[in-house]
Amino acid sequence: MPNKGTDLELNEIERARLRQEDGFGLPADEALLLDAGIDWPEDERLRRTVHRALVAPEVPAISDAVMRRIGQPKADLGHALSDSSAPSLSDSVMAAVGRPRRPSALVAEGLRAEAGEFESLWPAIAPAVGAEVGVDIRSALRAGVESEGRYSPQGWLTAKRRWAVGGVAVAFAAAAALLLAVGTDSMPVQQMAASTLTPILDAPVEIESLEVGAASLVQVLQFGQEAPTIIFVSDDIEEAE
Amino acid sequence: MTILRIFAIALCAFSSPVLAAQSTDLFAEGTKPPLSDVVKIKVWTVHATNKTSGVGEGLGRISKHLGNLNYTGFSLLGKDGSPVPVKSSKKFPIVGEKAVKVTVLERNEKRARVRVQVLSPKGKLLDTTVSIRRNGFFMVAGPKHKKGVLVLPIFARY
Repeated sequence: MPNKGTDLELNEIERARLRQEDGFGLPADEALLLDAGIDWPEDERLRRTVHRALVAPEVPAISDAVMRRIGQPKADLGHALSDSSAPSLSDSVMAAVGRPRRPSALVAEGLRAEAGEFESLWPAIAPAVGAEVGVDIRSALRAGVESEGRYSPQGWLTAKRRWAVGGVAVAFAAAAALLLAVGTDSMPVQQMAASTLTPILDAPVEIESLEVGAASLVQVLQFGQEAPTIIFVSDDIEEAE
Repeated sequence: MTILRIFAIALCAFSSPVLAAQSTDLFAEGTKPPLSDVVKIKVWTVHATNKTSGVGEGLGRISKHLGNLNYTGFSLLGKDGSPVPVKSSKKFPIVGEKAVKVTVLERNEKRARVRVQVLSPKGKLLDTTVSIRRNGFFMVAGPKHKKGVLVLPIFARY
């Protein structure tokens, strides 16, 4: 099969150098290299040097250092399974990653060294958000949460509450008027009071007085703060008569 | 605790006309356009029944409120209205030989006090005095009519 563009084609001298470095050289290879003026033992030394540079002398024991950090006792599973002493990879890795100062701190230091100390943006932002520069935000937040969470008995008479209070007052007045006006009817007082009092909170209409015919029943319905009050008069008794 | 407070306020409001009047005055704050000498009262007559479904033409404005009633169909039977001077009355005939008599007692920038009487040939069905929010309305419902009931939205505009 023809070589592709990415394949490397070695000549005879190069193949002889590789065989010599690998220890499989033949006398003919050695003679060829000598003739070509190539010091193949030097190739061998270079290979060893590169190999030593690329391969870590010992494997760092990651598991040991990690387990120490998370506070778990060391489980020497590797030793239990292996019958030979494997190179400790974790030690060298953790020697790098377990240094007293985290790499991110070094990066931050480098950035600061490069850019200098940043000027605080807070003095420029604070006026825009209604804060004071010298105020401790955490203390202010804590104070705000405490203040919001504290029960304030004077807050119940807000404008909305006035509606509610007015509505309830009207409800009581209407209930009393109903009791006076139709109290002698056959309708149970409890049922009438419940139907009158319950839905009238926040009623947009204030009922000052309410009378129904002697043969009628009445309910005051309120389906929402902005909904119109509905006075429901049932003349079933009248119809039956 | 809140219930006790509300109960106390309600008792005070009921037992003391002065306090009740002050409560009413809470809504008289703020400024509004100049008051008219008359209050335009409108009375609609709506037939609510379970024999039909849907809201008839002309009721779109109040359809969501009609939906709160326990009926499936609503149809507009008539609209009537008239300017009613303060301390005057106006009687609006409705179906079934019934009538709605509205008396405008007083009005301020916020509310109008009106007395509404629903009359039938057999007597008075309802007699109530309410304080309606300016340009607001309320509804009287319940008089029987053709396998349903009448719903009477009553508007007060001024």
